[in-house]
This record gives sequence, C-alpha cells and structure tokens, in this order.
Amino acid sequence: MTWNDVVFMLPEIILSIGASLLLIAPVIGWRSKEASAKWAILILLAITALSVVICSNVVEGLPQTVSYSAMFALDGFAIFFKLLFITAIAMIVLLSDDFLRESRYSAWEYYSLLGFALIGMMFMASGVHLASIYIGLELMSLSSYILTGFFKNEQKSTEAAMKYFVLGTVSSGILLYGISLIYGVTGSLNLLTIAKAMSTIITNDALMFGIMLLGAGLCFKIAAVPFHVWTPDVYEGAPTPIAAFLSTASKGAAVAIFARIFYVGLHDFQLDWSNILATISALSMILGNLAALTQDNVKRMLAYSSIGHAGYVLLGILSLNAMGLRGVLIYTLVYVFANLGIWATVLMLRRHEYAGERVDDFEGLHKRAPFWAFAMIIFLLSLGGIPPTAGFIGKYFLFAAAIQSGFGWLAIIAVLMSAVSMFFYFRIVVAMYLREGREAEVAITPALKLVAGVCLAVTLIFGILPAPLINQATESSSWVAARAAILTHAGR
Amino acid sequence: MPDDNGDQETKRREARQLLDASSIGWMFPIAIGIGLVWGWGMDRLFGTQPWLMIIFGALGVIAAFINLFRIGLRDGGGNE
Amino acid sequence: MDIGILNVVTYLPLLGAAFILFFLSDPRKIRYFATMVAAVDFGVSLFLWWYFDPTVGGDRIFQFRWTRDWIPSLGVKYDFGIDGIALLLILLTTFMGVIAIWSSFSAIDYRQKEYYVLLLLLQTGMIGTFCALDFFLFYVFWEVMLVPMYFIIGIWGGPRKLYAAIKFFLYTLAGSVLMLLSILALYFFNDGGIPFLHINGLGNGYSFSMLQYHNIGHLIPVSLQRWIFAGFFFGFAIKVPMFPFHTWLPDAHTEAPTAGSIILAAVLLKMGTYGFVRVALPILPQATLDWLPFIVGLSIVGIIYGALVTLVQKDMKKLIAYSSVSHLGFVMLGMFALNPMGIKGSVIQMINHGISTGALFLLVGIIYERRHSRMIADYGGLAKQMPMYATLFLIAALSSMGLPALNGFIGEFTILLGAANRNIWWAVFAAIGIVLGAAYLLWLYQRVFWGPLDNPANKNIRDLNRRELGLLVALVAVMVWIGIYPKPIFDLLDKPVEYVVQKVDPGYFNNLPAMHVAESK
Repeated sequence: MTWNDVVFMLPEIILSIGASLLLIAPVIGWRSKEASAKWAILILLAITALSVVICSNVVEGLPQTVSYSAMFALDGFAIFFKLLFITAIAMIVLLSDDFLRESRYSAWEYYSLLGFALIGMMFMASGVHLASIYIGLELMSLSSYILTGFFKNEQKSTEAAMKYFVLGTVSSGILLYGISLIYGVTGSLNLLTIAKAMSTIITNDALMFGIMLLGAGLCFKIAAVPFHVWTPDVYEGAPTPIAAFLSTASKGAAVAIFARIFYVGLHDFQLDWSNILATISALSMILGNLAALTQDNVKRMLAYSSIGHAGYVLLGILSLNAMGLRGVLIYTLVYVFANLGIWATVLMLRRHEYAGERVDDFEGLHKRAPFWAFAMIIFLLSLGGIPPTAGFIGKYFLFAAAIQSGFGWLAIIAVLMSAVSMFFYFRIVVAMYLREGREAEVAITPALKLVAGVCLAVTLIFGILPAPLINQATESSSWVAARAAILTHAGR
Repeated sequence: MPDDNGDQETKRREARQLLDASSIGWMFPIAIGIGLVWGWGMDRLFGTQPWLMIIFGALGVIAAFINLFRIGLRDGGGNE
Repeated sequence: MDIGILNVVTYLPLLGAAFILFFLSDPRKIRYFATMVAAVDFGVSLFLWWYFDPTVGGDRIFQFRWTRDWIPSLGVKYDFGIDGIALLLILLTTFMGVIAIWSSFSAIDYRQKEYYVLLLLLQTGMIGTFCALDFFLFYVFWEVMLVPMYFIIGIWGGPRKLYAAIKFFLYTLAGSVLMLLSILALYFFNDGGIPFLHINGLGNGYSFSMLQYHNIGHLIPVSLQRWIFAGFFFGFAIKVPMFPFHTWLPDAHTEAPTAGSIILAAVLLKMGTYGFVRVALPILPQATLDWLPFIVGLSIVGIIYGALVTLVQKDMKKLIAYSSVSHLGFVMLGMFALNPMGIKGSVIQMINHGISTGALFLLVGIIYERRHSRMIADYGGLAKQMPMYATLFLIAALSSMGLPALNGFIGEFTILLGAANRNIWWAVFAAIGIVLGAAYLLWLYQRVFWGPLDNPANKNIRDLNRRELGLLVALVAVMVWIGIYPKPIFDLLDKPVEYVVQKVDPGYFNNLPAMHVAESK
C-alpha cells in the first residue's frame, strides 16, 4: 500500500481515528465534560471535510482516480456525496445537542457512533467495488441500529432498534447473497469488471436473480415499496434526531450506492431491470403519498413521505441518462436540506423526550415563532416540488429524465403524486397558520436556528439561482455517466 | 444462555422464540424457491422465457420480505 | 443599467410587500401604503400602454423585451416581453389590484399585515405570468400564484374556508403539474427527441423559449401534439374553469374574502384562457383542430349549464361565481372559432368579465359588510334605501349581460360574429346563453332591489361611503368607456390576434372572404 493509495482514504482514516478517540474519551478521563463532545465532533468533521477537499485535489494529479485495488474512487460523484454527508452529520450533531443534554445519556458515545456511521457512508460514496460498498453499508447500518436504540431506558427506542436490527440484518444478508450470485456469474466484485463481463452475456438467470436480490436489499435501505414497512415504526420509535439521520443521511447514502451500482456496473441489463424499478418507483410514490395522508403523527407522516421520495429518486436511477444522474445528485441534496429543516422545527416543539410529534403541536406556530413557520412553508414547498424552491429544480430533472427515457406514464404518476403530497404537507401549514392554539413551549436554541437558517438559505437560493448547483452536479456525475456510456445529449 | 433459568416455562418460551427466529432462515429460500419454480414451469408451458420466471421470482422475494416484516414488526420487536 | 420596465411593473408589488413586512406594523399605514404601491404599479402599466406600438406585426409584436440567461446549461432564459393581449391583461391586473386592495379597508380587520403582503405577492405572480416568454419562467410564476391565494382564502375566508382553499390549491396544482410534463415534452422535441418512443427531435438545442416553440409548433407530429395538448388542456381548463373541472370555483369564490373573490374572478380566471391563446393555439395547431369539437362542446355546456345553475342560486356570491363559468364558456367559444373576430372578442370579453364580475363581487361584498348575509332572500326593495348602490349595481349587471353601450356588448357581439363565421349553431347556443344571462341577472336585481322593503334589518342600511363610491365609479367608468369607444383595444389586438391565427390556421388569410358559414372542421 503506497502513499498514493493512502491519499484516497485519508479522510476516512482521520475520521476513524477521531471517532475512536471520541469513544474512549470519557474513559481516559480526557475532558469528560459532555459539552465539549459536541465541539470535538464538529472539529473532527471540519477536519475531515478539509481533508476530503485536499485529497481530491491531490488525487487529480494521479494517473487515475480509482485506486486501492480499484475498490475506491475519489471522483466528483464521491466528493459530492462525501461533503454532503459530512454536512448532514454536522447538522444532525447540532440538532442532537439540546436533545442529549436533556436526557441522561452519554454524548461522547453518541457522537462517536455518528462518526462511525459517517465513515460507512463515506465508503459507500466512494466504493466502486461491491465489497467496499458492502462494508460501508454494514458499518453505517450497525451504527444506525445502535443509535436507534440509544435511549436504552425508553421502550419505544429499544423496540424500534430491535425491529430495525432484525429486518436490517436479514436484508443485508439477502443483499450479500445477491452480490455473491453476481460474483459467481461475472467472476469479479469490481463494478467496472462486472460491467465488462456483462457486456458479453446476453441473458443469464442466475445473474438476473442476483440483481433482483441486490435490488431488494437496496430497496429495503432506501425504503421503497414493498420493502418499506419498517420505516414508520422505526422512525416513530427512534429518538427524533436519529429519525432525522435515518431519513436524510442514511437514505442518501443508500441512494448513492444504488446509483453507483446500477450506473457503473449493471447498465447493460437496463431493459431488464428498468421496468421492475419503474414499478417499484410507481408503487412507492403512490403508496407513500397516499398513506401519508392518513397520518396524525408527524414523524410517521414524514416516514411515509420519505417513501414517496424514494420513489422519485428511483426515477432518476431507472432512466439511465445524464439528466437522471444529475437529478439524483440534485434531488438528494435538496431533499437532505429540506428534510433537516423540517426535523429542526419538529425538535423545536418539545414537551419531553418525544414531542413535536403530532400535527396539533404545530398549531398557532406563526404566532409563537413566525420565522420558523415561514421556514417550514418553504421546506414543505420544496419537498412538494413547487417553485421557486430548490425542490422544484430537483423534481424537474427527475421528471425530465423519465420523459427522456420514455417512461412518460411514470412521469405522469410522479407529478400527480407530487400534487397529492402537497395535501398532507399543507396540513402542517394549516395547523401553523390557520388554527390558533397551543401555548406549548418552544425550545429554540442557537444550534437549531443555525440548522434551520442554513437549510432555508440552501432551499431558497438554489431555487432561484440553481445554475451553480446544476453545474456542480453535472461535473460531479461525469465520471459515472461516462462509465455508463451515456451520451450527455439526448439520453438513452 | 449459559445461565440456567431453571423454569420449564422459560425454557419453553425460549425454544419457541428460537423456532420463530429460525423460521426466517428457511422461509426465505422456500418462498423464493416456490416463486422461481412456478415461474419456470409456466415459462415452459407458455414459452415465455425468461420473463415469467423473473416476475414470479420477484414476487417470491417480495413475499419473503413481507413475511419478514410481519415477524419483525410485531410488538416486542420480533421477540414474542 | 437597463432595468427593464416589465421588471419594474412585475416586482414593484413584491418590493412593496417586503417593505410592509419588515418596516410597517400600523394597520392604517399598511393599508394606505399597499394601495399606493398598487396605484403606482397601475401608473407604470399605463406607461407601458402609452409607449406600446400596436402597429408592428409578426415576431416583433412582443415589446419591452428584457432577456438574461438564467440557467444556461438547461437553456432557461429569464425572458420578459408583452404583446397586445398580455398588455391588456396586465392593465386589468394592476387596475383590479388597486380596486381589490382599496376595497379591503373595511373588510379585513385582523392580521392585516399578512393580508396586504399576500395580495401584493399575488400581484407580482400574476403580472409575471403575463410577461414571461420562457416556459420555465412561465411555470415558476404560474405556481407562485397558488400559495398566496391559498392563504388569502384560508385565513380570511368564510365558514368553509379551509376546505375551499385546499380544494382550490390541489385542483389547480394537479392541472399545473400535468402542464409541466407537456412543457418538458416540447422541450425534448425541440432538441434531441425521445429515442425510447422513436420520436426524432429537431436538434435545435435546449431552449424553453415560447417564441421558438411558436415557430416549430406545426412540425410536431400530430400524435405527440395531441398528448402535449392534453397536458396543457388540463392545466388551463381547470383554471378557466371549464365544465366539468369547475367545481372548485363556487367554493373558492364564496368562501374567499371580497378582495380575494375580485382578484380571483378578474385575473386568476383569465390565466386559463390566456394560456390557451398564448400556448395551446399557436404551438399545437393540428391538435387544436382535433380537439376543437370536444372543447367547443364543453364550452357550450359550460355556457348553458352555468347559466341554468346560476338561475337557481340563493347565495349571491355563488350566483355570480356560476355566472363566471357561463361567461368564460363564452370566452372559450370565441377563442376556438379560430378566426380573428372570435379571438379578439374572446380577449375583449376576458377584460370585460374581469371588470364586470369584479364589480359585481365588490358590490356583493359591500352589502355583506353591512348585513353579513349573502342570501337573496334576506334582501328586497333595497333601491329605496340605497339609491346610489342600486344604480351602480344595475349598471354592473347590465354590463355583465351585454347591454349595448356597455363593455359586455362589445365582447359578446364580436364573439357571436366570430362563432357564427365558423358554425351558425355555435352562435345560436351562445345567444341562448346571453338570454339566460339576462334572465338570471335581472331576476337577481328584481329580488334584491325592487319590491317592498319588508325586512326590518334592511331599513337603515347606509348607502355607499366615499371610498366605495370611488371604487365603483371607477369601474363603471371603464365599463362605459369600453362600451362606447373600444377602438384602442381593438387596435391593440390586431397584430397579436393575427399572429395567433397565423400559427393555428395558416391558410386562413388566404382563404378569405370571411363570410363562409362553412362546415365545421
């Protein structure tokens, strides 16, 4: 392993050391005050982000951007997602701060677990080898299981963790089995080699089966229908910042590997899996949005809406064209920020450890916290895809990709379900603005304000001036798009 | 569990839990297998290789997952 | 630096709204400031009219162009420009904006700040839609209009405001998103095509420019044209509103506050028809012809059904709401005659309907503020107690039913001419609609204003105060003016209508003389 190879993984190495230190910090007796845990992780994240940028610059000078036995890529796609994940985790740290302080659990462990999850996610962003992807996936998942059950003394939390763990591990097992079948047929785990091998295969039952199982495992992770059933229960039971983590960062990472695997490795079989994915996408959009209509619990409603969003993102993946890939990147970013903003507002309405849960809790918010109510409207509009928010830009790309690849019927379903989604998003707006209500306390901390402010800025600015975001997405997706032999003009 | 709880009741409960949990293990291959075989058979009947096998195989996978969710999402998190 | 006068007229209300939001909190100051902003905006739009040149034709009918790159990688431009049709609609918008804002003084007594901010935001959205010449921009403004209207209905509306607001929002949104798909289909056809569906593109590069699409419209294969038309149809037909997509309108109108109803009727309902004449007709000529029987059928049903339902209404606002359905059926009929007479009549009637129906809603709002009832049965013999009100109401009603010397006649007559040109039966049905219109309006008037003043609650109603008088006189003045001297408006419409007809029926100007009472296509 030469220095060149280390450069690729330097950010992850730094993060691993840092997260491990965080874990043992209280034991060493090293500044075991809880308050400094937050600063420690934030500084660590900043260093990691910096190292990502530096390493990417260094790597560009090297002969190729894929290295370490061709397991790890540091191309635009990877950097985009790595930075996105680091930002998301940073914001989740900010969201968790107050929450943890009120509870009696150890912040050091919590943050170090988030750190480990982030390492997993960064692996997932970079992986071009099914083994590194799987390692990343498992690292993130295991940390997520523990984080879900972090409130050991709350029954809701431990139960949610148990459910998530049982279901998650089985799905990972299925995914692994699918990977092994693909390995069996193509003789390699490297996505590029797999693609090359697949170009010589016309049809192969075992391969199709393997792809199917792989897809099933991945769809579980992004919570697409019919593998979505765990989502409402787990999101409801998990501590609220962790629910935020699951619905944004965790989902984003799963989307990243979905895109990477299917674009780089499996593009030759598109005709086979496109239609299946289209059906899954349609079902997710329809079921996710329709089920959300009936929910009174905000966390469950957001869970179902995230199922719908998984459906939208699948549009980008199944269309297999440059527009679709750009759409996946843009939409993931937009979705992460809008969602984090909403979760910040949910966290703000607290009564005890599990609050801000019911739609009624939002009543009269425009009086209690007018700026937040307005911010909520923007976030909800963004999730619904209404201009001039960034969410519209993301949806535009996904719809355009679907039409361009001939899935007109799917685009029609997608737009209609977008309209339907506004219905339950607006229930929150109705509660905030059109009902008078609660005088429940509103716990606005500077940290929450910062998160909401950043999310609001991103959502609005990229809605009105989307050019930088679009250009960045195009640049970042170029390597992957090229591997999938896509023409940038006139899709495929 | 190395700890001997002694109780007949506890032992019975644990045995039941074990059986329950292992059901996932054999449920998956059986569900998927049935789907595949059915699809393969219908393919041979109608000459539509390989689509029906894929479709029914997918249905088998979905059925297995749904059963998994059923077990895993019981109150108690798959324990009872 | 060239700011562009269209940007001024569009964003002035937005700036006013921001100012109110951040710097003003006294309701009185807010009201006056808002009215002043709206009035200034109207002034700027008059400026536009003064400098507009109605004599240029062809592609140059779009004046005051202001174009900047917005998202170059997608070919999206920020492209503003107006022709005669858009100019008239902008004048209508700014004028009715002043009326609506000024009329709210006594109607709204809580949360005034948000109210006026939302009204001004709505103004920006509407004017921007009329100015946009780039489809992406058009879609953005189109959607932006939805949210303020939703809040206006939902916060300051009547008893069923929440239901009406969300119905309005979702119905319109559903149509809009389908329209988005049509826009995308056009976009791809213009460039690379849709290989999956074996549709070859024109290879013109990414562009959302409406003018570009006007030029290539006739090249779109007919089957694709039909689908694209379907998407636009849903988007626009819901807004018109055409039967059977009109069910959101009665609820929205009755539950909205007075100013909301005024703006809704005067401007928002014109969006649909504007869309048809700006987008659907010029870009999709063959599809327009294919869909013609269907659309004309729905329009006629709208005219007659709308009128019949209006007859049996007991609530004044609902009555006027359904009459809008009938009137706009007229507008659609005129437009789909696909000849210059018909389309001109259609646009003029759009303006007329805005003024007349806006005035009617204002009148109903005035009486509602007095007595908090909109039921016809609660009134009777008002003419004795409120002579000024009764007179102005009469003029507005006559205008709405199309009495000569008032604006309504000009529009209706022109539409009848245009419709008859294509198919005499259309004119027959339209005439039936006019008769029914006279019936329900006169009957309404009789029940409310004539007869004995026997409801004791009505015995001491105040007549109009100065503000209300001012508003109504302004409206009536316009009605009379257009009725007597419509020439300037006709002049403005000459070239744009010619442009549209040229695109939708290129052979028209070669096949004159005009009086062919011909086969319907």
